[in-house]
Amino acid sequence: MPIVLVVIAVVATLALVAAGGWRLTRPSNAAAGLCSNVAAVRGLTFRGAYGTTPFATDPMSAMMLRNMGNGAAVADVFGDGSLDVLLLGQLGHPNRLFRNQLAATGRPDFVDVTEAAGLTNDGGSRAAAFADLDGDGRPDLIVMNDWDGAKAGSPSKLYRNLGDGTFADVTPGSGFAPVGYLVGGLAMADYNHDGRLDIFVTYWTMELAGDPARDAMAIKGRFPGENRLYENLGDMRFRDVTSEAGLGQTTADSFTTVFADFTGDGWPDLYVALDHRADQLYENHGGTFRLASAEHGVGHVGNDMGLAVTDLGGDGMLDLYATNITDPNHQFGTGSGNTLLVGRRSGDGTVTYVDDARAAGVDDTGWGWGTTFTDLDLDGHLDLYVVQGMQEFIAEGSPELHDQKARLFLGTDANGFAPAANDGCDLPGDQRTVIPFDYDRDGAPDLLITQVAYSTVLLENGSTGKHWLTVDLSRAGAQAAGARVTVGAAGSRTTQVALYGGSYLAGMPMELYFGLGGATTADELSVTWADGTVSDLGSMPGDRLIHVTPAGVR
Amino acid sequence: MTAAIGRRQAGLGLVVIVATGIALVATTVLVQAARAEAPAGWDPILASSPDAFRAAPRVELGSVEDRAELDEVVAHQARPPVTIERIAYWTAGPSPARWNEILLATVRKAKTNPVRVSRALALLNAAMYDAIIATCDTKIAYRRPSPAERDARIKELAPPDELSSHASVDAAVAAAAVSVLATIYPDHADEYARLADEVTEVRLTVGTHTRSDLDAGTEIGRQIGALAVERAKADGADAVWTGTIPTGDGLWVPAKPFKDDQPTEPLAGTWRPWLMPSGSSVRPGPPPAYKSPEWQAEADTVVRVDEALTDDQTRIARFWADGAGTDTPPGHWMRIAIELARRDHLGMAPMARVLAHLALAQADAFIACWDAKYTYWSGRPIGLIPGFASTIITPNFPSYISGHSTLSGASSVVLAAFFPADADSLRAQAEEAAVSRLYGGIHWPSDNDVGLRVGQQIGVIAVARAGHDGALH
Repeated sequence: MPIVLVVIAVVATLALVAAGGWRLTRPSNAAAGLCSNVAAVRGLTFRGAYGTTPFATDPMSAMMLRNMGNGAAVADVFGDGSLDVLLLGQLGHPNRLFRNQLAATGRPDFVDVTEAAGLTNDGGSRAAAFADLDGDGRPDLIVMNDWDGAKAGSPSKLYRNLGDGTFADVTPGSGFAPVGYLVGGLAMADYNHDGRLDIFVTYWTMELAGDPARDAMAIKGRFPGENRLYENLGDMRFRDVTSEAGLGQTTADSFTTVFADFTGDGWPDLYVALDHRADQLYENHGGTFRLASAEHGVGHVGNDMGLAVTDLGGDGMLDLYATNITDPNHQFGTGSGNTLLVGRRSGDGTVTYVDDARAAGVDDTGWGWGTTFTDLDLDGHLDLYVVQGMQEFIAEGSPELHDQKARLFLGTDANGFAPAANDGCDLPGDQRTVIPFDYDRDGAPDLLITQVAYSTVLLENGSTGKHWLTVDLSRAGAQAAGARVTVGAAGSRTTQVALYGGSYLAGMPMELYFGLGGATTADELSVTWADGTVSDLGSMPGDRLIHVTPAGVR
Repeated sequence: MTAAIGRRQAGLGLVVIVATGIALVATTVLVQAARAEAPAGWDPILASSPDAFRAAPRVELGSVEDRAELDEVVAHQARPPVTIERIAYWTAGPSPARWNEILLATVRKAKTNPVRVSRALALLNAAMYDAIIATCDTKIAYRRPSPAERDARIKELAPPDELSSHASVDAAVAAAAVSVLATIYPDHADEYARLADEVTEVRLTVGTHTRSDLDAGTEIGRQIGALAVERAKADGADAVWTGTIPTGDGLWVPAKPFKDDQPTEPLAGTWRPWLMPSGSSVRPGPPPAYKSPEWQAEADTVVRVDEALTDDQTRIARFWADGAGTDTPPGHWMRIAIELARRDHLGMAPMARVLAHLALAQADAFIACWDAKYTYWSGRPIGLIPGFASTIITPNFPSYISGHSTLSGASSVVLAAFFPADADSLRAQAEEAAVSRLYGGIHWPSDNDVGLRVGQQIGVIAVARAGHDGALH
């Protein structure tokens, strides 16, 4: 290189560095003030503190146990029409059930009712979900705990909702007895079409987290835990059917898992996000699963953690989003990016998935965890929200990754996404779970976000001037698991999927929030239930919450 | 707090007040000295005198060899063997900052414990400081114009050395640094050697030195590096602990996840210090007796703070955590020092002087702190408060006194002397680092309070050394 050029280039380099150059800005269609944290104001005070780590055998395993996070579950626990919140604590920090006071006082404040509800638990809980497991119409509760099967921690729990504001521990003798840590995911569906919700649990077993020969911080063992499928036999009794159902192959380093009918045959298939190795898709053939990742184009190898499922564009094909680690400094993760698996059906009926995340601009959300498709701005286009963090582990290894924020991508007219900014939803912190739920019943989904070490966040949705329709499927029993709801209004059409599972360590409320934009009425409302039957409910006036079951609307 | 501790702290407080006064008086001159570029006659740390390694030029000006060397510079400028980014990297500021950053990169990768990091930083910065002083002596003895001044074909693309191009100060710094770093991290020796070679190639390319100027610098640096290595071999850090962990009420017990591991560096209090006579020179009195009213009050404080911990306090606890895989506390303060030095555009010698005195104080602060830790073997909150869980990971060594606090007390006093306008901010940072350990649930208040004061005491000793290191002539 000629010396003059060297001089110019050196000077230019220094000048650019000094000026903080080479930063690209992206266009944004941010909605100002969309999100604001009202957790403390509403009495939802809970710190996801670290607990003791009795399972840890070395510093790395302690780091993982402290930092994988603790989830939350949301449901109308007391049948009063408002949504209550269960927050999970690490060992030494008990779980807390917060009752929403909206029905009682007209104000959506939260009051701790843990003791009164009989849900005292010594913590160490990772995931939980409310669901009607015994068919009595009330949401029962599963709490997944880290447990070594002997002394450390405590067994996972099944609680029956007694209908009087209290729960009874029905775990002993129920047959539900998963052992292991770290709990990576929890999903439910009626996998065998017997009308009851079955349970699948996963474990992140730290199998590939380091090489002890090369790294002083590497593990010196492996966490116990095998993914397990429990068939619901009724009356809160369960049977481990993992092997006979063909799910014996999913073991190591499993995170979020979802049941959904990816193949469109009316049976819930199973997707498992895996850390360090290829994700897995199991086809459900009448109650027996078969690993079929490759033939559907599934098999992303990365650090897949959180999952969200929807039907983008309402084409009848499910689409799936998986969060990952994207480190600008390439110090953490595989760098393979988040995936947005878009389903397509070929002429012979074969369903295949193609990753469209990069083209859609949603492949990079830092160290991503929980995620959800929901219509935050109620414009009739599904938005995508992703929370992130792993700060203690990242430490100084990658300052830019350490300091990232949650990301909101707003849905566009063309079924695409555009990054939002400066809207209050770009939350800094160390987040894990995100659950959309309308805590104040204004029709706009708010966001519950758990954090590691920091306080739980309740982002109130400040959308105004738009119409909406909330569809509650929680009273539809097993038929709600994987149900697709389509709403059309003012020429726009959106399909959402109800799942017991998804995001990360999340117990979803089984309510779907539809924005109608400027339309006061939804001119189309239909539900495709878990078994494939369809309820065509015609038009529906907006700005209301409706409870839908296969028997109709209430 | 017991009366004994009260008296001890009062005594420490008096020492600190008096010594801080001395430090403040010294401050003005330290700053003035920091602005002087040429470290002529400064008092070296490892070498016996500034002229111990004076190196005569090997090549005579105007000789055939000299012309060949100038041709080599011309060839480098025509076809640079190094990238623009690497030229900018090595010429954008004094190279001692780079070698500290290189060491810290290895520290993060190797997950070196903070005590060992402070030792490495002291050896590195002492060697680089001496290399700069020795090179200055040679420059004054053998003044040589730079290649660009002697050959019209050559362009000067970076500032030349002060006084003389013989011998290259960057080459001397690089050689001294590589000697130290390769001894501590032999697995990375090739990487360090490659970086030193890169310094040579960059200096040839920017036209400030001939190869013999660089070779002479390298030779000076190597000899001083050998002194540092010799010291490292005899400072006691290789000794192997064969003791046992004492047991008894209130004493430290290994906590998971470190249950099967030995405590960290039980012998570090016996390592050879740089500034103090021995690790026990500033040993504080004992901590509050277990289960005494004073101890109970501290335990209540730990629990109360943990239960009411705010997000801001969590953030502070994490910010200063500096655990395994990070720069660790000494590296954290070294980065603060480098940032201040760069902000004030300190030159090579003044920057190295700041970093060396900081590093010596840090090493001694940890030696004194570890002496106290393994004298008293006091328990941590996680071990003595039933059911308590700390917000940050409890380290694997006894509690009293806090390493962060001792280190931060020393670091803040040293840096305040060199950057007096920042004294308040530096003190506030040290106090935040200290209280961060209470927020994190891993230390009792007295661990932090006494640690800060012991550290400040050591900082004052370092400032006193800087006050008569010859830089004030």
